[in-house]
Amino acid sequence: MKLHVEKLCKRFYEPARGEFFACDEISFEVGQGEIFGLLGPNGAGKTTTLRVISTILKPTSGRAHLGDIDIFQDPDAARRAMGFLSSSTGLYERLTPREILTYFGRLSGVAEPALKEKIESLFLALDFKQFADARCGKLSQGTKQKVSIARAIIHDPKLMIFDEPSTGLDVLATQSMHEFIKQAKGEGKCIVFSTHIMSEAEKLCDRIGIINDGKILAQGTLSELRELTGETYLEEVFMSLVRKYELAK
Amino acid sequence: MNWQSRSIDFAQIKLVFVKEMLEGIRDYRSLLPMIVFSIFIGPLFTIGVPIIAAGQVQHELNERFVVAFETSPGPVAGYLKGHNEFRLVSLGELSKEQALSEKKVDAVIFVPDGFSDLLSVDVKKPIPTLSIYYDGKYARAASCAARLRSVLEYYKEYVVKQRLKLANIALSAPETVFPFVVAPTNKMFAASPFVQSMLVLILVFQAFMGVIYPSLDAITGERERGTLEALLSTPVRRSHLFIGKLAAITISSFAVVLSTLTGFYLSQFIQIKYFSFLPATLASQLNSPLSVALPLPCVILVALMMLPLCLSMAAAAMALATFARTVQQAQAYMLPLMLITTIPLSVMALGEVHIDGPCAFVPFLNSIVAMDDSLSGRISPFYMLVAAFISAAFALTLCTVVAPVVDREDILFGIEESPTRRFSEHNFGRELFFLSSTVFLLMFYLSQILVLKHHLLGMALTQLLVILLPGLILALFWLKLPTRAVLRLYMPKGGILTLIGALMLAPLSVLLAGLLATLFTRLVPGSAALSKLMEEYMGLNTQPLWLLLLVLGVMPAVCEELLFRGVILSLMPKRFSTMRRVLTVGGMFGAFHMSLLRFLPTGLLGCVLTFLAIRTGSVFPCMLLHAGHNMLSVFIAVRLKEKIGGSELAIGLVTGLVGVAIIVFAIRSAEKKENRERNLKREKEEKEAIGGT
Repeated sequence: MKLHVEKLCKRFYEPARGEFFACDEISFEVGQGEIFGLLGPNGAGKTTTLRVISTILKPTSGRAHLGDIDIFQDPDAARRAMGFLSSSTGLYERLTPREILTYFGRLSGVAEPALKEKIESLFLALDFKQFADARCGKLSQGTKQKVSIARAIIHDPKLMIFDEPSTGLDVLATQSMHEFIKQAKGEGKCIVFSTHIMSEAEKLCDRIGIINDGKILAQGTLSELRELTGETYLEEVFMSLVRKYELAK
Repeated sequence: MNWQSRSIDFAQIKLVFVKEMLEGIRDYRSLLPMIVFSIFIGPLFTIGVPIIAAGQVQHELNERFVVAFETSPGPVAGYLKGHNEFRLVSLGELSKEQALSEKKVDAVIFVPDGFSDLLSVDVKKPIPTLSIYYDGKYARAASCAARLRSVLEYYKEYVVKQRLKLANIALSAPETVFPFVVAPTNKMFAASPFVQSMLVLILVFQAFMGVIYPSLDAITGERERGTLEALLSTPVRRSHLFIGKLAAITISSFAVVLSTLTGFYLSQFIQIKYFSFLPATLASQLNSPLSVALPLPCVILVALMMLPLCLSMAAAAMALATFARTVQQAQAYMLPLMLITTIPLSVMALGEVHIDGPCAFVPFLNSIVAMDDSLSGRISPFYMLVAAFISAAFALTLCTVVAPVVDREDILFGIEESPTRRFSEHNFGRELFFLSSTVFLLMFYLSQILVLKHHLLGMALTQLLVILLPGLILALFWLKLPTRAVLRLYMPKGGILTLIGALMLAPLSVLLAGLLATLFTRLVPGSAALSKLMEEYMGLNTQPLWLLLLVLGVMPAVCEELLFRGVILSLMPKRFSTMRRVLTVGGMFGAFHMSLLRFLPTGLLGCVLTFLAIRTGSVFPCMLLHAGHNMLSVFIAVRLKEKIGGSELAIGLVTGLVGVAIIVFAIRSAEKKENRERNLKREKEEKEAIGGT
């Protein structure tokens, strides 16, 4: 299954700024077992792009397909095939991890006997079985993050969308998040991932889209981007593309 | 989102509902205590109030007033000794002023000379005055004096009787008065007056308290905890999300209501036990005003009537809370909702409002009045069924109206579209809702006060402040929309002819409105008296005709048209069909007149005016028809005194039909002309294009 995003636009309005496009003709493709990174500063349009792809927001124009599914025409089918996780994703504090996973599993249409097995296997895989029946409000930040990951993959999605997943995490938690993303890649999932941390993009992504001011300035593998800009480090690549864009504007 | 096109998936709704309930029940700090503690409200009132009352009585018995006599008391002392609340002492060496200021005594009685011989001397001799002295600085002394006065009044009666006896005048006076209860006859459905006086108020308040926490949590809470995105990215349909959450809020509110009702029901048994511990005289003194009787059928009936109220409150609270960015903000939004809830309660508290009248048709108010009636044993099954049906229909309509809040990006994520773009797409649902509620609330509060206090001037002020100003502020200053386009200040399609036709429609519309009002007066008793009262307030019989025509004719035509056919119609969603826009604006126009009697005629006139505005693209024909309608109505009421004969009817009918014909002709001709011009222009362009190539 391949994600294909074509000329995605989302228009915003702010009284002080007037109308503007938070994502402006964004196009990219992500293949099976591939990690595509959207790299850009805060306010570049990463979150909006990912929210539109995950059908939380409606696009102003543009198309997106996940395999045969037209994401915007058949959002229910698309939602069944994708998992969304962001650093700001919270949990229901008065529910237990088991209850949260059951709730989201059932909402995503996972059938009953399979759901129970899946939950048990996630407890083991992410190593938080001992907290399965404790209230989420009482869990540590690290365990909460594991529950959030389990929540996002309970229905075994083909496409994983991560919106700045490591923001606010400590070194250990970031490390385990990276491992989890790599593992998902190993399982053949399409992964779209946004970050403003250069090293993270460099470390994880197969291909990177540099996003600024709602537009993708360039995309390709790290070496393709280096070749395009003549710079070595990703930070320099990024700055060179942004400078070029500002000049052209 | 397709709200109607797909069937309902009950499994999804159940999932959302169960999760919300589970979370709600585990909320040990807000919802659960609310439900659990509500059961104690009944006992608290029904036992607490008698306990306080018993304490008061006991206190009065124990804390006796100290009274002294300045002179020889004679038989007065003997009479006062029979009253336990007074303790008689002697002044001793002290003067009365000293004794009073040093608080040795609460009051001093001066018995004049010869007062004691009253019973034996000539009956025609005037009775000397008895005086009571007390220190006005002390509240206790003042109440002692008041008590003494009332007790000595009885002494006076006793003296009169004795003297009549001495004079050998036989007089029979009624010795005992005994009350017999004749209604309510059906005790199964009647609660005791003590319960009647407070139960409805407490239940509505409790139902409201029950919706607060879950409604804050429903969407705003999800957003604040960061779970909303995750939820929205699952395949659960947003309509199902709404229904599941709404059901949970309603059930929470209903649980609080049931818990409260159970408390009241049980408290009657506890109260009997409590009264049995009291001395018999005390118990009988309290029993009559403070006893609790709440039969089970009454409880069931009241519970059933609360259900649609809980649903309406849940829908309103959830929608309102969703507008807030944070839970804290949402809490503040609940206050106006609570104030709105108190309006029907205050109408009920006015008394003499019963379900078997126009109020059966007013949602929310009807449930409250029906409960009040059923608690006092006034059961009218037909009207109660009507009320239940209308309440349920209102609650469901409200749900349908507010349901799309969970699909609105502007509300959920604060993503706005520019006002200009929204105007071109007529996408102003939120502002429209805000404007209509403001105008309706202002009509309810400000306008009623203005009209009651300043009559005709109040009407004029209502037009300017309540009707014209909010719409203009919203459209022109807040949203900064183009003035002419929003207010439709254009020459109408069909020009002068259309304007003349519109004016000619007025007699016909007056006739129709009169006919509908007459029909309604026959259908709903009491409405005629109401309109009579209104006429008096308007000063139809006292003010000069020109002023009446200006304030009741011209001003509404200008102000109401600019609001309804201008701002409101312009802000209606573009996706609404012409029919839907006509019915919505017409219905709002009818409802806005805040009179059940006038709803149908004004609603119908509103529909005609809206259609006219859409079809002619201008507000002016509407102003002319509206002014003509109102001025003619005033003229008929003042000069013709409502007496309309056959010739007037015929004139009205003919002018109306001619008016319709003129408008149709004018618009058709204008459209034909437009088409011709468009065709000519196209041909010209095509020719130029061919010439160019």
